[in-house]
Amino acid sequence: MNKQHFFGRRAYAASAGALVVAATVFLGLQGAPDESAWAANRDVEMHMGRVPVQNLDELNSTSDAVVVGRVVATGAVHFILPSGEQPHAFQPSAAPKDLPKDKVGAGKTPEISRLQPNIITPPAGMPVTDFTIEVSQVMRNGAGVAKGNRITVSQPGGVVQIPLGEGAPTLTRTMLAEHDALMVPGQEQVLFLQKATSGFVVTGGPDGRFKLDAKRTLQPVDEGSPVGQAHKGETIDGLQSKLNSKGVAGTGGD
Amino acid sequence: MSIRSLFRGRRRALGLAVVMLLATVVAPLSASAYYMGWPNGHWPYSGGGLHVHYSRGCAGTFYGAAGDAASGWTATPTPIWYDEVGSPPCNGGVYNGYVDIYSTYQPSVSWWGWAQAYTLHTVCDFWFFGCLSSHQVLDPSWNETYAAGQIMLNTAKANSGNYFLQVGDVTHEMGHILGLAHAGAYCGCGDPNSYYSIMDYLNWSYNRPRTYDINTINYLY
Repeated sequence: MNKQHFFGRRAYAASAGALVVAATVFLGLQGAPDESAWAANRDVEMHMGRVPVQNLDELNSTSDAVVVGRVVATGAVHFILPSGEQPHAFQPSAAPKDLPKDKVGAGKTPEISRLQPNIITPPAGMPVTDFTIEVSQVMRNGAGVAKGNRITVSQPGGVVQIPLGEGAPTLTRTMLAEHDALMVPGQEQVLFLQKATSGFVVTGGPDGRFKLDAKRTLQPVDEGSPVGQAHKGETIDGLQSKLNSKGVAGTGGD
Repeated sequence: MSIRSLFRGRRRALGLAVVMLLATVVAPLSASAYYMGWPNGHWPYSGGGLHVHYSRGCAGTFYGAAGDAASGWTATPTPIWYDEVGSPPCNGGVYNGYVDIYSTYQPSVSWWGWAQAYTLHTVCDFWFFGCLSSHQVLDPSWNETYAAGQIMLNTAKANSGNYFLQVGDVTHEMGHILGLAHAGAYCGCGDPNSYYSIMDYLNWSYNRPRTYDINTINYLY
């Protein structure tokens, strides 16, 4: 065997081996799941139990101020956390007295461990977003609000991001309180407001928030809201005179 | 082919078309008669009892109401068991396989309770002819198989005179965690019969699952 022939064979073998390795690596990596599709932003409703506001009297009497304002900025998302008390000692509860016959004597299923280090969990608490509102008209004032003020109004919901680890995309979810779409910069609204620890919240959630249409008449944020339906299509002046007739102390007008 | 047999064939075809049309309209209605949740939103279930592990040790002044609400669901003629287990630290964490009830004091907000279900997604860390290493994430979702749930109750709404509403509130939130959406009735508005589900908005008429809710659960599971 001459030398040239020998090296030629080795070169062929090496090339073939490299090709096999490259093909194996290429094929092995095929079919890796694309996490970006499900991690991409998606709206998720948050379910909020509440007693709906029934009428304008209730809405008005539980509000500290009523304003017309434009959303000028979306602020930070923060989280309402549990009170952080010490948990009650666990005492297994007895079976209900009115348990159906076919459930009597049935056993419980075993618990799984709460320690699961391989699971990423979302941020603790309920997301809330702060919006900056520029007040264009004060319809009732019990909270020191004046025309031209910029106030902070907190609304349940917001964009939550959960990093999925190195090399993986970030999970994004826009959390929305049911029937209470997040405010959008540029929107002009009539807002019934309650003072909160910092800034304001909307009285009754969606019940206390009206959009203004092109004719500047009130459109409820939640079509199902009883108080929203009762005042749908009303003008700002019409609402103002109703608020004035309630006899609540306030400035009225601007 | 005689003209008579032709008409007979046409009549048969017409009859068949009417039957198919009716089936198209009626079948989805019957299938969704008790449906008010999300098409894929429920706990994994393979028959027998559905045991949902819940804790109420962090429910604050709703502690008693949470126990009564869980008993209310367990007492229904459905597969549902709300089985009480010990609580985690009261910090709002989400735990795979558990529904934890927390409480917070929020005097200025309108909501009494908040519920959120989570599904478990697997994220592949290293793939080579299959996933060789992975981790998981609890993703807030209502329309996938549930793996965990969280309820937060507003203790600013609790006082000695409204225990009835407290139980209704927790029963309502526990209904969401099982896969029930809002039924939608906002108020009796003069007609108490217009309420029909614990998944209506909170009211003083009832605080336990209704026939409508039981039928819905038996449809989902």
